[in-house]
Amino acid sequence: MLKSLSCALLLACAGAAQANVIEGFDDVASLAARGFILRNASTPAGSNAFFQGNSRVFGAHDGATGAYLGANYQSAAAGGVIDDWLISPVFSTSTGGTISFYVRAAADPGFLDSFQYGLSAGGTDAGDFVLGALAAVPAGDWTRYSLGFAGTGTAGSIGRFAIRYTGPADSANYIGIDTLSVQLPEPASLALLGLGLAGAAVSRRRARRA
Amino acid sequence: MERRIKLLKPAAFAAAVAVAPLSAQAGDAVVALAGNAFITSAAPNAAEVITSNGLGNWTSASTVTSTWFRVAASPNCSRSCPAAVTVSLNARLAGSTNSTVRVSVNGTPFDVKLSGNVTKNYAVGTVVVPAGYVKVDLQGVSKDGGYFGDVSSIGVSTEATLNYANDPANYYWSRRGPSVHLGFTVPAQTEYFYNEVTVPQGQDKIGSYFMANGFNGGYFGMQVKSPSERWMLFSVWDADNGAKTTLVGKGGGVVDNGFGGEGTGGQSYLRFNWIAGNTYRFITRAQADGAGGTNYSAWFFAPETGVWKYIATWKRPATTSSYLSGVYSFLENFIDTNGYMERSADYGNQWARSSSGNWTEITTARFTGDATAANAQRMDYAGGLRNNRFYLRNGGFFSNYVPINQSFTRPATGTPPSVDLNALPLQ
Repeated sequence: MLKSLSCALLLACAGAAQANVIEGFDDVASLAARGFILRNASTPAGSNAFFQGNSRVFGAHDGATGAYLGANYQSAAAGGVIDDWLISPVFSTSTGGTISFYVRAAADPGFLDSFQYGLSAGGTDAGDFVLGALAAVPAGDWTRYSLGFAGTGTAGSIGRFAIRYTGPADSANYIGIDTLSVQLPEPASLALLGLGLAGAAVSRRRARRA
Repeated sequence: MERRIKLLKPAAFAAAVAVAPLSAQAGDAVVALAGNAFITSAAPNAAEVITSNGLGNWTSASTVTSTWFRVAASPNCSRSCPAAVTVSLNARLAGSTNSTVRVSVNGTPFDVKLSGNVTKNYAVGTVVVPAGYVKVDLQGVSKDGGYFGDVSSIGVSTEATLNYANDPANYYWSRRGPSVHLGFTVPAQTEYFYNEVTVPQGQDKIGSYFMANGFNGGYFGMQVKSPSERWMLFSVWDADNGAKTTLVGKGGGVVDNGFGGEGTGGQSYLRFNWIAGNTYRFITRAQADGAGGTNYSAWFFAPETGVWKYIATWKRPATTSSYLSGVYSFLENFIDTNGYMERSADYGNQWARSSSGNWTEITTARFTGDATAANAQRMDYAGGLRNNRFYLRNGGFFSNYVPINQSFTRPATGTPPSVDLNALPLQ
């Protein structure tokens, strides 16, 4: 299932681009070392935040069964509000491109997980991001979302992409995020700035799950 | 009680026995039937009984004994995160040489053959279960003597965290189930407290006490005593210094006497078969008696009668304050053998009236629980907001508990109760 939100946030659609898989979440513990920011701003904070995907709930979209980013209702204490942020490393916005990712929620009756996503001009504060509308995370299968952005035409301009997991903890459950990619025009290797992305810029192909 | 039980290798058995002394089920969590089991289906006058030793007098194939334990959700998992649980049965035969019993784990049946009168650990099977309470049913299949067997405990091996009653000294309380409360902060010099209680249809289980108007010194609410009898009950404790609470007056048909058990004091009740689904209104009043004590009075309004009914006034001596304080509601089960039944009630439109005549709406409640809840001996409790009213829920081994020790705020109605306090009856 593809839910494209290209052209959202008043940005023009990107043209054809080569996919450069940035992150497959094989090792969540090393995300920070690779330029990602995992922030739990939930109030009050719960007992955990992002973690390595749990194959007991569902398998990854791609790769090893637990190779995805997980988060759940315990991000906030009972009665609290979840506010988890996955923020990408910076990437070039000199030219346009497309960002895509997959999300999935656990299917437990009576619970609902919500998320938003959007871009910043390189900032990492919550207020720096222009986020799309709050949406329910689809349960039952991985769902692809994408976001196109127009290039600034200015050399050196950068951006960050964020996924925000949010909502009342008491009604939330469990989500997974996988296969986050940035698609930039050729030559991709020049578009990536490499601030924490040098290693991640290497394309990684994984067998897609049936 | 919260323990993390892992499947243990034989070398670790000695350590496991040390932390689980109740039986020889080394490596397993030992879920004692004495504290965690109930006869949930039986013919009238059935012989089966749960004692401090577990299930005994097991003679009827139609009797079902149910034991519950709770599998906690793993930290990095979903609400219903599945876990594999391997179940065993600690049992002995008496009165038979061989028997077959059916052990159903969350509905998955296993037939287990028992033999010999030595207590043994019988393997049952492994089932993948979602997080939450797991129900293990025991039912007799066949026997060559008078009894199917005596069962002391269920052994559980799993990598998940388990919760169950493990404090033998408090098995009586854990079998009754957790009591939950709503605490209301009322202004100083509160003379009257008003509350409305609705018990949804089907939630009026025998043994339930839906307490509406509690205060430092007493409580007032409605009970289900038996299939045919329900009470409106108003009790006031004796003074802290031991001085006796005495009856000042009571309404028609009200029975008064002393009470003991969890304390001593004066008890008054009206046999009144209140109806689930109806909303009952409760008023309590505190008045200085001019002699260092306080007179506490109670009334209720039933929609089916359309009038306020007086229960009683009790004089409690040697009180430090002659106003209502420590105001609260609670929900409890007072029959231990019915502790597996679920009950709930809605509590709404709370108001306090000061001695100067000012009404104050009470829109915030503090949700708390008793030691059974606080110590995780039982985790089938909940409270919060439901349809703009507070609610309490307990029993029944439901899985989605609501943590205690948090506050909830309901929307204000803004309209004080329509009751003429000066016209409340005193007989």
